[in-house]
Parts: sequence; structure tokens; C-alpha cells
Amino acid sequence: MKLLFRDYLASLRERGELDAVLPDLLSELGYTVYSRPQRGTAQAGVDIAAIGRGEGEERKVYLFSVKQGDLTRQSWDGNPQALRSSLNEIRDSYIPARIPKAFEKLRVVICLVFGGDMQEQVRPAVTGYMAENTTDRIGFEEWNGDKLAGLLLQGILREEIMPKETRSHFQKAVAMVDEPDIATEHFGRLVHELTHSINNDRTRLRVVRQLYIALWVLFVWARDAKNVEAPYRASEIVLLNIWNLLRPYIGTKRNPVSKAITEVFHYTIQLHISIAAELLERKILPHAGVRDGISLAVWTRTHVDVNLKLFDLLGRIAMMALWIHWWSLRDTDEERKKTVQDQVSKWAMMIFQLINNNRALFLPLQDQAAIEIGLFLVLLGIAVSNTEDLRAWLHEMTERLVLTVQTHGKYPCVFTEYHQLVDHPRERTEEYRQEATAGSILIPLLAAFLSALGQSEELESLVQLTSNELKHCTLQLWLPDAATEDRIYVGGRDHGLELCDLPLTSSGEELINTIRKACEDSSDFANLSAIATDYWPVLLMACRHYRFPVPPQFWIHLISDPVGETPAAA
Amino acid sequence: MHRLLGTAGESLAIDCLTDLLRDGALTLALFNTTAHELRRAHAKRLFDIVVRWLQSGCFPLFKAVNDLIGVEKDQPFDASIIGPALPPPQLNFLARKAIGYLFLKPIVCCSILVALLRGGNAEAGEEIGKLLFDPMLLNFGGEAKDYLKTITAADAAFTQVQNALALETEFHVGLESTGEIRELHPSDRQRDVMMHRMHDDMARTRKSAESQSVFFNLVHRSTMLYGNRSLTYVEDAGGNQRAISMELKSFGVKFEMPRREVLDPVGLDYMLRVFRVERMR
Repeated sequence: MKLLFRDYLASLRERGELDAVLPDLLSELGYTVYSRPQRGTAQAGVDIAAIGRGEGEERKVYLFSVKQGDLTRQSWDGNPQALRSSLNEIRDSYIPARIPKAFEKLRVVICLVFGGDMQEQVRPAVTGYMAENTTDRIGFEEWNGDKLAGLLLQGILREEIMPKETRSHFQKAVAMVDEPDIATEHFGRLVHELTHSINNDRTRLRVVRQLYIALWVLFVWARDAKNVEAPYRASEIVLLNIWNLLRPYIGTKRNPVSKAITEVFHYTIQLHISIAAELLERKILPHAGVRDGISLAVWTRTHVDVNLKLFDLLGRIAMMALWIHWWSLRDTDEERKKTVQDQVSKWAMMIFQLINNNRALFLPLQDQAAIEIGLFLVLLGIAVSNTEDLRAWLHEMTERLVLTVQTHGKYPCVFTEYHQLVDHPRERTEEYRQEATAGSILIPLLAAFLSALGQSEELESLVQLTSNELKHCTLQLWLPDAATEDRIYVGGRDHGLELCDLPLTSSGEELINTIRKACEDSSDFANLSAIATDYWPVLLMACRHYRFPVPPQFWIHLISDPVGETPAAA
Repeated sequence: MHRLLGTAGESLAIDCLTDLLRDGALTLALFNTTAHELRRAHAKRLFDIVVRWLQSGCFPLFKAVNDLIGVEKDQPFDASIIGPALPPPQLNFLARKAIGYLFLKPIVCCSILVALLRGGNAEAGEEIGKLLFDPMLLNFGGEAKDYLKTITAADAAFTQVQNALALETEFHVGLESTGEIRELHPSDRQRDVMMHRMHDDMARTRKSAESQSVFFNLVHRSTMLYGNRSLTYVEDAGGNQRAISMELKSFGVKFEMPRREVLDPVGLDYMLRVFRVERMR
């Protein structure tokens, strides 16, 4: 286990990775962190500052200067970013002027933190420096990867708070990182066991930190294995579970625990975005312009895998863009906000590029891919994009839908099991088609947008289809209800309201009016914690992860009142 | 009818066959011997019939083209259609019909497109050249591509064929840049499900083929579980045991699945349907 963490700590590679984990670790070990790392802020060589007793009894100020990987000649000395320069800065600038008044009298320990090992050739220089600069007030400690791993194990992940069985799930998740289904299953169990062990505020905060660190470890290992699928899924589970743990504090008086959980929650959002970017920004989007590039990279002999993966990617890219958009709304720097908004619009355009070059994206095999389509449509509501691309996509989707249904081809079906999808269409009979198209969330969504975009010919095709071949099909949409709040963030299934038997006519007006009316009549959506607190991407993520349709409240204004605001556009 | 083939009455026989098939009431399966004879000899004659039927604008004849070529034949025609005889729209129409009905015989199909290119009609040539790349080379990177590589510089189709091959190379360069994306790979469980399904499909197909075979009902059948030689002892007329040994050879038929069957089956189906049903404008 220790080796697992040593390797993890040594491979934390980017600035911000090690110093993002360390504060939580310190808090768990009993330190009081009073200064956390902040990008772009001069800290006079200090990345993290805390008050603690270390291994002794006396309270001291601990100042941490963090470097990634091994401590080499270069990372020790020779450039302004080297550790020696940071230590000088701490002695010359931080200690005399920046230690808060309340701690001025305490002795100071400067900790040299690095995830790996100290290389032998640099050791004499470091030891010499520490000996030379040690005084009655100032001391030095070396916190290398081995020590940090030990601290992780005796701190946040110690056996009393993470029992053997729970650890075993964690170890299996890491070991099976290249088998994402298995890794995610074990990680899911880890989350389940940890979250069910909570009995007070303190354990709640500790579990939140454990989840965050466990996710980090999984991500780093997966990144080395060049397969971040498992941490991607795990990050959604962690994010939603932390939200669920944070929920009880909403509307209550702010206390240190809720503050700390909120802080970890924000770090988790950033971590999720990093994981998503590792996959989508680095591996997928650069090849969106390559014809069949992403489809062929699925590496399969069946169209089912290509279709499922492509629509999954569509939803993930849209979700990542929505998170980044949401994050940018909180930014006070207008210029930076504008840059991010431009980036989000660029991603929307790149999704169209992906669609045009990977043409399975013109029609899903599963009706529930309407979730991914819904996410993308919500994204288009906030991004600056070309409506013509959207029209062309919906036009082709309608044509293909009509053709496949009429010819008993590979039309979207209600099945969710892989073996059923592989067999679809198992029979080219009316009876089978009725079973495979018993209900649809895709058709009402498609029809609503066709109507809004004035694509009357396509809408008419859908009307004909639903009056003939699909007259048995229950057209429906899903809306959250009062039970949703307690269940959706942790994967509960029995909640929500199905808006059924939606009317579909050539104008589409009745459909839109019915949806609008249902949205207006329900206050449950607005009462959801994620909506009430303006953390709306949490709800979208829950819908994506646990396979619930995107509630129409997210997109109804886009089609019935273009100037109105959806939660996403607000 | 097959007796008239190769005689002075040959064209009469072909006219008669064409007329009989035209209204769709009869299919080529009823003229097995004639079809076999047409397939077996005189590639030029077969090519002429294929072109004639594809030009006919008559659906039963379009369908009969596929039956006429047969399952096993995927050999290129070495023919040409002289351009001035056919205007560009008709050359394009022929090319699309050939793809619509002979898509799964890519070498035959490409050779018909090459024959159309040999007519030297520049206007139609560009369109047909595009079809050589998409859908032909985009779907079939094996023998069809090998066949197109054999077209020499002296051939009138050379330039368009080279353009199509260059586009295909460019396509592959793009794919290589994508590299391996492990996150996209199906899981082991999904691969297992797929393998089982393919295995079941194969078993079903074999059973169905066996039930249609004339020989299987006439001969004794032995199933060998191991080895590749059989040894059986039979009693001869003198009452002695005689060993009969038989070495087994494997045999098979291979065909290339179009790539879009995996990447975009709905789009492929849609395109082929359009190519099959569209009429001359």
C-alpha cells in the first residue's frame, strides 16, 4: 500500500497537483492550514502554511515549499524556481513579514516537500544549507515521497478510518485501472462504504477528503497507464457524492466543516475538469477534424461500440464545456471570462466537426442517447454557434430515424443491456419493433427543437412516423419531483415525474405548450439543491451519470422564448 | 437457353433472358445453368450483360445483376465503355448503380468504374473518380485497392485512379495521427458478448447451409474432433480389413466487410438505397 502511494506521489507531475493534496493531508493529521496554494499570487516561497505539533508537543509554524518529483541538482539550485531560491525567500521575506501576528512567537519549521526522492549528488548541498541556516527559531525538515506516503497511511487513510476491506476496494480499483468497468465498480464500493461510515460532522469532512485523495491517486495511476476512463467515471461518482454530503449544510449557518467541504468540493470540480481535459482536450478534440478518426479508434468489430462511445463522448464534451462555462461565470476577471467563453464556443463548433467526421453521431442506437443530445443542446444555448450546423444535424437525424424505423434497420431502441443492443434489431417484425420502441425521450426532444428552428418538413416526417409505424410509442419527458433531491445525486432510481403521451402535430406548438405548462406547474426543479444554489452542472452531471433525461427546464426557454434564460444561460 | 450461348443465337438467348427477368415474376435462380455458363466463360459477354441490365432502369434486372455475378466471383472485368456513346449523366448513373448493386463485390465494382473511366469523358471522370475513393476505397482497403494499384500509366483511367489512391493515403495518414485511445476500447465483457454472438451466428449459418446442401443427405457424415487426417478400416471382398486414410484440407471463402458497416451502417445503408432506387435525371 505504501508503495502505491509513493509511486503516486512521485508521479504527480504538474504544478498544483502535489500542493493540492497536501493541505487536506495536513488537516487530517491535525495541522491547521492557514494558507493554501494560490496560482499567480506571490507567497514568498511558501506554498502551504500551517500550525501544528508535528511529532512533538510544541506548536510550531510549518512552512511548506513544494516541488514535484525527485529533488535534483536543477530543482535544488540554479534558477529562480529552484527550491533553494524559495527557501531563501522564506527566510528573507516570509518569516520576517508574513507570519500572522498570532503565530509570531512560535518556532518555525521549513519543510522541503517533494513527491520523489532526494538524489544523492544533491544531498550534501541540501544538508549543508539546512545546517548553516538552522537557528533557535528556524528549523528544517525533509518531506520526501516516502514520508508523505507514510503520512497518508497514518493520516487520512489509516486503518481505523479506512478498514482493510475498504482499502482492498481501493487497491483493486487502482490495480484494475486499465479495466475501467472493474475499476469503477471497486471505486464505487469504496465510495459507498466510506459514505455509509459517516456519523458526525468530523467523519463527514474526513470522508470527503478521503474521496478526494483516493480519486487523485486513481487519476495519477490511470494517467500513467494512458487510460483515464476509470478516474473519469470515478470523478463523477465522487463529485456527486460530495455534493450529497454537502447538501445538509445548504441554508444553515456557515460552519468550519461546511466551509471545508465546500472547499474540497471546488477542488473536486477542478480535478474532474482536469481528468475530462486529459481525455477530451488531449486525445479526442485534436482529432475531431480527422475523418472517421475517433470512430476507428474505438477498435471494434461492431457498430454498436462505435455508436455508444461516440454519443458518450458527445455528452462528456458538452458536460466539460458546461462545467468550464459555469466556473467562468464565477470569475471576476472579465478578460479571462471572455477567453473561457470563446473556448466554450470553440468546443461547440468542434463537436459539429466531430459529428461530420464521425457520422454514426447522426443517429443514436439507444433512445437514451437523448441525454447526451440534450446536454449538447443546452451547451448550444450558451455558446456562440452556427444554427445552420444544428439544423443540418437535426435534419439528417430525422431522415435517418424515419428510414431506419420504416426499414426495420438500426433505429434507436429502448434497450440498455449490451447484449440486446448487439442483437438489435433481433427481428424485422412489427412485434419486435413495438417492443424496441415502446417509449421515446428522443423524439419529443428532437421534435421540440425542429419546431423551434422552423424545420417543418422534418417535423412533419416525425408526425407521420409517430402516427403510423410508431403510433404505439409513448412520447415522454422526465421532470424531477420532490423525491428527486434525496436520490438523484447518489443514483437512486425511483423518483421523478414522467410527462407522458406528448402531443405531436405539424406545428409542434401543442408539444412546446405542454412542456412549458408542465415546467411552470412544477416547483420541484427549482427546489433542487443544485438549482437553488446555482450549482446546476451538478444536476446535469447526475443526469448523465445515472442516466436520467436532461429536465426540460434546462432547455424549454431555448425553444419557446429565445430571450428567456435557462439555468445554464443565466 | 444455355445451349444457344456461344452460337449464332446467343444474342437471342440473352434478349430472351432479359425479357423474362424484366417484370420480376421470374428470378435468375430459375436459369441456373444459363447463369453458370454466362459466368464461366467470355468475361466480355458477362460485362456487356451487366452494363445492359444496370442501364435498363428496371429494378428486377438491377437485382439480377448481383445474382448473375454470383457469390464466389470477385474478379475484375478488363473492359472499357467508350465515352461518346454514353453521355456523362448516364455514366454516373451506371457507376452509382454498379455500387448500389455490386457493393459487396468491390473488385468487380471497381473494375466497372474503371471501365467507365476508360471512356475518357472528363466531366463524368471526376465524379466517378470521387466514387472510387468514397465509398469504394473508404470501405475496402484490401483486394480492391490492390486491383486499382495494377492500373498502369498507359491506362486511360490512370489519373483518376491515382487521385483516388492518393485520397485514400491521405485518409490513412489522418487515422494514424489519431493513434491509440485506450479509453474508447470496448471492455473485455463487451468483447466476450460480441465473440459469443459471432460464434452463434456462424453456427446458425453453417446449419442453414448444411440443410440446403444436396450432398449432406446423400453421403455418410463423420465428425472429427481432433487431427487433420482420418483413418478408417473397411472390410474388402476377401474379408480383410483394409485401412483407408484420408488427409483433410481446409477450404473457405473470404470476403471483405465494408468498413462503414462498423463505422456508420445507417449511413451506408442509406447511400446504397439511394444509389439503387434513384432514376436517371
